Order: sequence, then C-alpha cells, then structure tokens
Amino acid sequence: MQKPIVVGCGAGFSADRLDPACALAESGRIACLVLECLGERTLAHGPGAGHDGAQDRVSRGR
Amino acid sequence: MTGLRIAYLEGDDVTAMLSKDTVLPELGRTLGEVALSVVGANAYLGVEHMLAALATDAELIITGRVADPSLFMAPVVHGFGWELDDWDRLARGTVAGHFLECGMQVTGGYFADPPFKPVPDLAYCGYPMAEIGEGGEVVVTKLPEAGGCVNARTVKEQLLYEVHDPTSYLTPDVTADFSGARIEEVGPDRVRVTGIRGRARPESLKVTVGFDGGFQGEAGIGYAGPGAQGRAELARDVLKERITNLHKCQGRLRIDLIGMNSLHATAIERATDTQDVRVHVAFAALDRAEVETVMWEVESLLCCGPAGGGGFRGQIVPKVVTHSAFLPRHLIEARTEVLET
Repeated sequence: MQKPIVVGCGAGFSADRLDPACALAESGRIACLVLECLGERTLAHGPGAGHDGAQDRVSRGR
Repeated sequence: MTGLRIAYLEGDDVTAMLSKDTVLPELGRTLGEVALSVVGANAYLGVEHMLAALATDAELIITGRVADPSLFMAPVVHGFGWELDDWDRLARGTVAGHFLECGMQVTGGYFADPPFKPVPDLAYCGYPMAEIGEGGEVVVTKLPEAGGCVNARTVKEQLLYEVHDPTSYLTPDVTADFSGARIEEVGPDRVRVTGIRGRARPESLKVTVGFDGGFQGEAGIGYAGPGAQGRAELARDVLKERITNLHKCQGRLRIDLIGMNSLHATAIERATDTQDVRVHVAFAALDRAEVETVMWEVESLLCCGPAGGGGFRGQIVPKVVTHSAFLPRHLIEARTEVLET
C-alpha cells in the first residue's frame, strides 16, 4: 500500500499569516504546501491585478 | 534565488469569452441588460487543468483562479495517478481540500469562542495538514508544536462552511456528497473523515464576473457619555436630511449606530443603556463626487452637529461588484508555461 500524501495549507486567504506557513515548509512533514490567496476581492481589483500585493512579504518570509 | 523551476497556469481569464448574451443567473438578466462595465471575468479551473503544471516537476506552481479544494487536491491526483472519473476518490480528495482551503478555520481560527470553544495558543495557531491515502482516506492534523487544535468540532464546522447542499458540493472535479460523513478523533489533534461519496462533475465551470461598481465611502464619528444615544440618533437624522433632501444624492446610503444596532440592523431595534455610540455611514455611488459630499457631511458634524462628536475617520475606495456566470467546460483552454530563475 502506498504511503499517504501529506498536503499542507500555507494560506486560506490573502491576509493570512506567513509564519505558520514557514513552520510547515521547514517541518519536513509535508509533500507540498498550498497557498490560496486569490479571492473575488483580489481578482476584482482590475486588469493587471489578480494578486494580493504581498509578494515582497512572501519573499522575505514574514 | 537561482535554479528554481516555476510553472504557471493560465486560462482562467475568460473576459474575452463573454458576450452581451451571457446570462447572470443570480440576477436573471444578461450581461447586455446589466448596465455596468466589466473589469474582468475568471473561470474556476479544476484539477484537470493543473495536471500539466504538476507534470513539469516544477518546484513552484503559480495559478490563476482555481477552485479552492481543487488547488489542494491536484498534487494528490497527480501523485497517486487517480483517474478523473474516479468520483469517490475525487470526492474524498475534495473533502480534504475543503478542510485545508480555509487555513486555520479547521485548527481553531474563526472557531475560538471562550469559554465554550477554547483554543490553546491561538496567537501561534498552526495551519492544517491533510494526510490523504491512495483510496482517499483522510486525516486532518497539524504540527504538534503549533498552537491551535484539530478536533471533531473544528472539523464539523469546516465541513459545513460555505456548503450550500451537503449532498451535492459542486467543484470543477466532482459532485461530492458529504451527507454520509463520519468524523472520528483518532489521536491528539488527529481527525479521520470517512463516508464521503462522489458523482459526476458538472459540465459547466463557474465564472466570477467583476464589474466597475463606482466608489464606496465609509465614515464614522463617535459620541460618548450621558445622552450619547440621543446625540447619535440626532446625527443620523441630520445626515439623512442633508444627504437626501439638500444634496439629493442618488447612491445607496446606510447609517448604523455601532453600540446600539449595527450588527442587529435587521432585527427589531433594542434599547440599550450604552454611553458609547459610533455613527457609521456607508455610501456607494458611481459618481465619486457624490461620495465625497457624503464624507464631507459626516466630518462637518464635528462642529455643525450634536454635542461632543469626535474621532472622525473616513475613506473612499473603488468598488467592484461581482456576479456569477457559467461557461461550458470544453471552451476553457488552460496553458502551462515553465520559467527557470
């Protein structure tokens, strides 16, 4: 029997915290980390938007 | 950072596929009949659209709009090689995705309600993990060192969250039936979920259409001490009179008295003895100048209104209105590209 695949959540909406996502990524316990940051609100900010504006924070890790 | 392979998935932007005949079922009208300009439309993609990106073995995948549970299930479908018409497995993977998609809602966030629903160490609450077996066995858990909790109650709350019909939870991948769910605590912060079944997926994909809704202004002013309620009500009446009859503003106006009836605005107004009331004004209109007029009217209460008003704050933001549409799934073409840093 194959081993279970462990999926971690790193964000459920665009203002979710980053530090618990880093903790999961560094734990070695998960096969992949999924960050769900795109909502009606973030998409709707218009053409050229479609992101949550947190790229700098994400690349910094906090 | 170099040597990172990044796959990105496009195809969710379906703005160009809309026409004046596109139906908006919630409104019972077509796009042509709704006199608002479209700022964008995105289809909710599913697992089948993500598989090509996963097959690239990129370390990082960035997607456009993907249905939330699909986003979490796609790596599992890829990893186990599940068939895209294996409805029971897909339904079980979907329930796992549904547990993960709202982050801490299944580990204690949005759940904490002392003293009835205590959550340990909420300040350092952990995000959830789901262990998904080849047959779709699901255990929801979290890192042992993280704060928060995973128990039958947090899992039941999330199971029902944003679920319109538990027998037919529609995603791009499957119609999932949660009605036979069994929830068991199988260890500390470990909950197993079984009994999930699936049926064929919908033939159409949901599309969120965003419209330019003009501008929305929000402003507030506070009244405290003896007679605060009477002064707040007077402020409200003055605002209504001037905004409606003097300025003849056409937008939508809402005035709440926070501390008296804001969250219970639709209930029968209850008398309270609070001495701490905030007049909260919300106003939406296509014309920004009209919204500015309303903001000015609220601020003018500082010296022109009832005694003791203070703490004015106000801001105007662009407003986007969204409605749903549907497109046949065969019209949607997802595209995957890979970049290397």
